[in-house]
Amino acid sequence: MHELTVIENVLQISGQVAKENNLSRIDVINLDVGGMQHLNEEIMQHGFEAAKKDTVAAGAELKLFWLPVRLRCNSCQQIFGTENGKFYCPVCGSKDTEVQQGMELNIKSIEGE
Amino acid sequence: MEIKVLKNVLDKNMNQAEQNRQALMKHNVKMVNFISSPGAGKTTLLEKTIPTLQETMNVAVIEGDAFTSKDAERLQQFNIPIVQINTEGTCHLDSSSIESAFAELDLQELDIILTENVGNLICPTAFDLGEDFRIAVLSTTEGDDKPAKYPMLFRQARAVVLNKADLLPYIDFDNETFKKDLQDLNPNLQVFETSSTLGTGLWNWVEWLEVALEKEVKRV
Repeated sequence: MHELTVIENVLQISGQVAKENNLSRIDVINLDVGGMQHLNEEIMQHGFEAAKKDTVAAGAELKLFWLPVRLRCNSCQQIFGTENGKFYCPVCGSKDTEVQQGMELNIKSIEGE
Repeated sequence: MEIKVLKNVLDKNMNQAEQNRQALMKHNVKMVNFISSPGAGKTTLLEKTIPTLQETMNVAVIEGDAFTSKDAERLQQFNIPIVQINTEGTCHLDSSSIESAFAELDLQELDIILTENVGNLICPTAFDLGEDFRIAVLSTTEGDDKPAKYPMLFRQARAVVLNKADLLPYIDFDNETFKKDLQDLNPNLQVFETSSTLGTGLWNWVEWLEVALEKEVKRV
């Protein structure tokens, strides 16, 4: 349930960016979310609906872009996904891997006037 | 109009975590972040770990709980500094709550801070506290499928303590599956089987922890 903390931070940062750019309202917040983050979209959206009231983003839509987990094998450099629940290299079998995509939790951009 | 932001949502937490790390390094204090489900046995494990650490190091505990100070009260017997953080329902500790806890501790007098996070396998993993490393505590009754279900925690942890190992003969827990899944996720992970209530398996764990902490000291 850290979705609510995430949403509070999203609104805080977006509000700050809107202020710096003299926006009077935010229409869309575009957020990248990596698959390793264990965040639930429904809870995010519910939290967003509740928390955005009385903010510059009161009428805004939260768009989530889910980035699947991608690992890089440190032995053979293969890039692979973990959809099958396996975190080791499907080509050479090495377990020495690095997360290349999936840890994201970034506000890409905001749209507004 | 569209304005590029490209900012991590939790960057406030990350920045504060980095400041905490600097404060710890300045005073040569190591911090360990214990993460588990509620009831896995974090506090009991600490009760069995602190006496050995205390022989050679000055230990303090930061106790994170949603409500109550029951866990902190259990640890008062050791006469060590304990700071209770009540998150009031929030499911994780964050770096600013740790900064407030530091204000109540004399870092100069300490070697080790053991931080017991709020019981939860998901949320605490997203919040860097400024710790040197994380320990995942899992109890056998939670099931052997937890590493596969919660990969983030087990990828990030330095070691896993499989607690309540004395119950293995009575429950449906496939130790081989468990260890294989952990290996697949994180081949460098140390795994310890303990029963904190019976006191078994603790020696290996505490010995490893002491060495791991010393290594951190030398790294600085």
